[in-house]
Order: sequence, then C-alpha cells, then structure tokens
Amino acid sequence: MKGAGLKLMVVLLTASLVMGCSSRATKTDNAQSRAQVEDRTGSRGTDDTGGAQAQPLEAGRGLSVAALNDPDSPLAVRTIYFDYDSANIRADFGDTVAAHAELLAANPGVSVTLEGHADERGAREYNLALGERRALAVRRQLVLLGASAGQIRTVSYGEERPAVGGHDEQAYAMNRRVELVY
Amino acid sequence: MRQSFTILPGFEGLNCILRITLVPSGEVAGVQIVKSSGNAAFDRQAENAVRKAAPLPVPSDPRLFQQMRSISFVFDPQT
Amino acid sequence: MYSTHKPEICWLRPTRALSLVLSLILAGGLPVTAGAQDGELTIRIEQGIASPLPIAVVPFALVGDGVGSVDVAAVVRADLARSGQFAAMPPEDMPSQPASFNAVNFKDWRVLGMENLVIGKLLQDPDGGYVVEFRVIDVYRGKQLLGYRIPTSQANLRLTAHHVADLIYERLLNQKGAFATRIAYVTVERKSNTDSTFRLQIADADGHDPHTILESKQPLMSPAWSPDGTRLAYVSFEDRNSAIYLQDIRSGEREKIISGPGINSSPSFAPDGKRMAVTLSRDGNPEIYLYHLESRSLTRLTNHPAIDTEASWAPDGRSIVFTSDRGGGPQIYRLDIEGGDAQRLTFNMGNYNASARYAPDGRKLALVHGGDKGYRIAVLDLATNALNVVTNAKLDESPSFAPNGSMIIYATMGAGGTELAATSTDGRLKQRLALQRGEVREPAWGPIRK
Repeated sequence: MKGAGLKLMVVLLTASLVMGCSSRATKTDNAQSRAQVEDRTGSRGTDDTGGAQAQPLEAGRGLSVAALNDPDSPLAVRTIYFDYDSANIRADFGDTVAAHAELLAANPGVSVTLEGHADERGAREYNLALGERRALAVRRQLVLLGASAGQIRTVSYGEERPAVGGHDEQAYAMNRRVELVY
Repeated sequence: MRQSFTILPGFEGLNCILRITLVPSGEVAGVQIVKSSGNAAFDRQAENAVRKAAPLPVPSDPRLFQQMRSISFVFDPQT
Repeated sequence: MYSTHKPEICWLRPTRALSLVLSLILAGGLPVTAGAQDGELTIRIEQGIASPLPIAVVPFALVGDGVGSVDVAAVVRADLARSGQFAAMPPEDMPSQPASFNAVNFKDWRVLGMENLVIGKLLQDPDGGYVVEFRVIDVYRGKQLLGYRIPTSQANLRLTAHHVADLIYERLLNQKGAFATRIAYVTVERKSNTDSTFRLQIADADGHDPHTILESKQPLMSPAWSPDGTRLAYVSFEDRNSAIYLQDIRSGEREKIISGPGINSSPSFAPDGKRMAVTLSRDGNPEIYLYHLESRSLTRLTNHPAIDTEASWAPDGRSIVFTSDRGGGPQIYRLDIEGGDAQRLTFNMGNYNASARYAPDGRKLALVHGGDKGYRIAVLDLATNALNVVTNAKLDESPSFAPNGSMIIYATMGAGGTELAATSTDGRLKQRLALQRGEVREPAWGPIRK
C-alpha cells in the first residue's frame, strides 16, 4: 500500500504537469488527504482475514468504498463535467481523473462504470453518441494513467437521464457529464 | 375574383383557361374548361371562383352585353 | 390545439373583386386581350388567396339502435380543420342538416359561399355491424363528387371516420390524406432525478386512444415504424445499456435484436421492411450498419472516426441520409447503400444540422437546425438546396413527416415539459397536440392504416 501511495504522488505530479493546476496549495492538500485515505484503507486491508484468492478483491472493494465515502478525498468527486458539444476533459477535472486512475491501478479487482451524458439541446441520437464520446475520453485518460481497460465499462445515456431539470445554461452545465459508478 | 380563387398546396406553377357563358342577368349559364391545369382541384377552384362571383355585373345595353356573353378566364396565379 | 393561420372567411363577399375587374374593363381601364374567338373577352386572374377551403360536414343521421357512440361527422370535421387546408363550418351555423342529396337546398349554402358539403348516415346492420355512408357534394354545380358506403364495426368507427376524412381530402385537394394514421412517441414521468417511468405509447394521429405498449424504469428512445405499420423498433436501456428491440404492436411480442458493447441505437426501417439502418459503436465509435432482419446479419455502411448516426432512408431505398460530425460539428450527409463516399448536404447552413428525415416524396429533408436562436425544425429542399426554418421555439427536435408529406410532427418545449407539435412543411400552419401531462417526446408518424 505504501508503494501505491508513492505511485499516486508520482501520478499526481505528472497529472499536474500535464493538466496544469490552479493552486499549488490545493494540490498539496489533495495529495495529503489522498495519502491518508490510502493509509486508512490499507490498514483495513491488512485486518482483512479473508481467503487468499478473495483478498485482492476484498481489499479493493474496501478501499474504494472507504475512499468514495470520504468527503475529503478527490475520489469523492465522481462526476466530470464537460463543455458544450465537447468531450475534452477540462483542466479542473485532471485531479479527479488522476485519483480514480490511481485507485483502479492500485486495485485491479475494482471496476467502474463510466456513464456518459449530454444536455438536452439538439438531436437525441447525436447526444447519445456525444455521451459515449465523453465516457470514452474519460476511459482513455484513466487507462493512460494506469487503469486497465478491463476494469472500465462505459455506457452512454445521451440526454435521457439528466442530473437536474431546467432548461438554462446552469442546468445544461450540470447535465453534460460523465458519472463514475463503482 | 382573385378574392374567391383559393390557392391550395400543390397549385404552384399551374394554370388553366375556362370559357364562361353568361345570360343577360349576369348568371353563369355554362363553364367550359378550355385548357385544364392537369390538376382537378385547381380547375375546380377556378370554376368555383367564377361561380361564386355570379351574378356578374353585366351592361344593360344588349349590344354591349353581346361582347360579354362569352368570357375566357385565364387562371395563372403568380406564386 | 391552435392554429396560427386564421382561416379567412372568403365566402362573405366574393363578388366585389370581380365586379371591380369587370367595371374597369368596361371603362377601358384594364388591358384585355382578345381570345381565340374574335371579340371575346379574356380576363387573366393572376392572384388568388391561400386560404382554407370552406367545407360543411353535416352531422350524420343515425339509423338504428345503439348508434351514436362516435360522432363520425365531428371526427371528420376536426380532421379536415386540423390539416389547415379546410375551414369547417360549425354545425350551429349550418342553414339545415340534410342527410340525403334530395334534401339539400343548394341556394341556402351558396348564399353562404359554402363550396363543399358532406352529408352522411351511420347505420346499424341487423347483425350488429355498422355502415358509414357519406357523399361529398359540389354546392355550386349541384353535383355529387364522391359517395361511399363503408361497412365497419363499433370498435373501428373512429378509424372509419379518419378514412372518410382521407377520402374527402384526396378528392378535394388532389393529394393523399394522412388522417387514418397513428403516431408512436415516448412519455416520461419523472418522480425524482433517479426515479422516472418511461413509456412507449401509440395514439391516433389526432391524439385519441393513446395506449402504452411498453413501460420501463430505464430510458426508452427512438421509436421507428415498420413500413407496414405492424411493428415498432426502438431503443431500450433495460439491460443498463442501449439495445435495439423489435415489437409486434398487436401481440405485444418483443425481441431484443441488437445489443453489444457501446451504443446500439437509431433504428430506421428500409422501405422494403427487410432491412434496418442502425447505429452501433461496437467497433469503437458510432457507425451506421445495415441489419438484415431475416439473416440477422450486419453490414457496415460507414467507417469514420467521427460520430455517424441517425440514418433515414430515401423512399427509393437506395440511399440514406445521416448525421456526422466528421466536418467538425454535426451536419447531414448522404450515402448510397451500394457504396461510395458520403456526400455532405448541408453546407453554409450553420454549425448544427442533425436528425434529418426524408419526406415521403424524397425531395425534401426535415432536420434539426441549431443556431443563435436555439434548435428549430428546418426543411431542406434537395433540388434547390434552400434551407427553410419552419418552427420558432428554442428546443425543437425529432421531426417526422406525415406519410402524405403535408405535415411534420416534432417535439417542442411546452410549459409542462416537452410536448408534441406539428407544422406544415412551409411553416405556415402550426398545431400543438395536447396528448397528456408530463413529457411527451420523439414522435414517429406511422404509415397509412388499411
């Protein structure tokens, strides 16, 4: 688990170099909180007295659940938002994607579903394709940062499952998204 | 007449010629389709326009009326 | 329902214009050309008014016990008025309500400028069946234009009334009607962000008799009619991913026909009913495939790293149009089924054109056109390449042509959510279809019912 923590730091540094980050202080905070998460779940993994084959899976599950339930963890952010008609991962979500990539890389037994969504404007079928493109963009980045493709399932709901109602830019911004579902 | 000639969808580019026979009272005695538009609805709207306009205002002078006893109408709406 | 087109009551003063014309001629104020015969006057009428045709559909006489459950004349009247091509006289304005040709007092109707009269009877057979009998009468000529006797049943009375309206429409306008048709659409009842009920419904084209053919907690989308109107293809997410299903409307029997990794969507029946164009992303990104219903095999039609989706068949079945963002944003392309390169159809028409649907005559496309003012329905004339925006709301989508090409049904944002509306292809006439509360979307206009 210590190895994983170190790797996470490396990944984060790489990510910050690649993505460019708004605030160095925030970066450090994120890194620390994430390290704590790793420690905590690590110890829980050690306490686990399950069978040998089951251990990685159990450990992985424990890890994800704990981290995802920690509001201070970047893993608590499980929705990535997009610009209009775009599937580019915005710089402000670099950390989030990197954190999830690290989680997956460290826990091969953990899998995630990426649900791609679009806002309601325009053609439904085109939006279904756009939702998929967004989900695939996140998957590509996760794999680039160490996750295995086999851990990731993608599905697009297009504009069929909006996160919020309303027909203004604020609502649209909340609906153009990829949700990470563990 | 143009007020009562109803243009319907599909009438674009069509035209027809009707020959109308009048009686001295101005009533329509007969309508003959000299040249059909090829669209029955168009021809019928043209004929209806004439029939709805009857009785037509005709001169009381019998000699003048003779000139108007038979009138050709060309329906050629510019759409 | 409302109409933006005010029916002009042109039978009130029809003589004034002609009187004027003749007076001017007689006064020598208008050029008059000589006709074929010497001395004959020729008058050119170069203007008319695009106005609805006056028609009076007299309430049908009821003959026999138990008749009258459906007001056939009222259904016919509403159909004709809804088309925007007819100004139907309200029964209370009628000078009389004849049920037979001999009872018609032509003078009364001519005074009112009424050109077309429909009279009829609804009779009950001794064996319990029904017969609808009707005539269309040309008031100014005093002649019958059309007369039918149609055996039917209690259950089919409304359908028969729609058939009557279609027969009248075709006789008077020289164009096929589309009243005896149904529409399929999706409704959404949203209890919370995570709890919605999706329903696939079918209703008569006038909104009557809606019934649910499928209900799901997961999204349903993209209903597509088989050309014979017996089956619907659609997309369901019930297995936590999009999959294409085919359902027999009468029996309710359904089958998942295409599922796989990625998107499985946008079904569109070929005119032959044997093939379907579908969008699948099993090979990495959305491409259009041909699905052969009998052999259940797939042939890939497009191959491009961009999004390719929303196929619609040309009526001759030899080509499709589809949406692709290979040029940057979504635009409409055409592709021959037998092969060749896709040709872009929407050039210099803004950054967003999608959801193209072929008109039944193959000469036009209806599509979603996005611009500064929002997303609207536009009609692209394939011969002249002119794009005509025919709606004016902000979030219009999912256009679908009536089988006679006269109207386009689409989804638009209403006060209570998405609702259905229809527009004439020139945008002159608009109607809303008040089906029910809540979201109603993705209308698909079915074929003419036999």
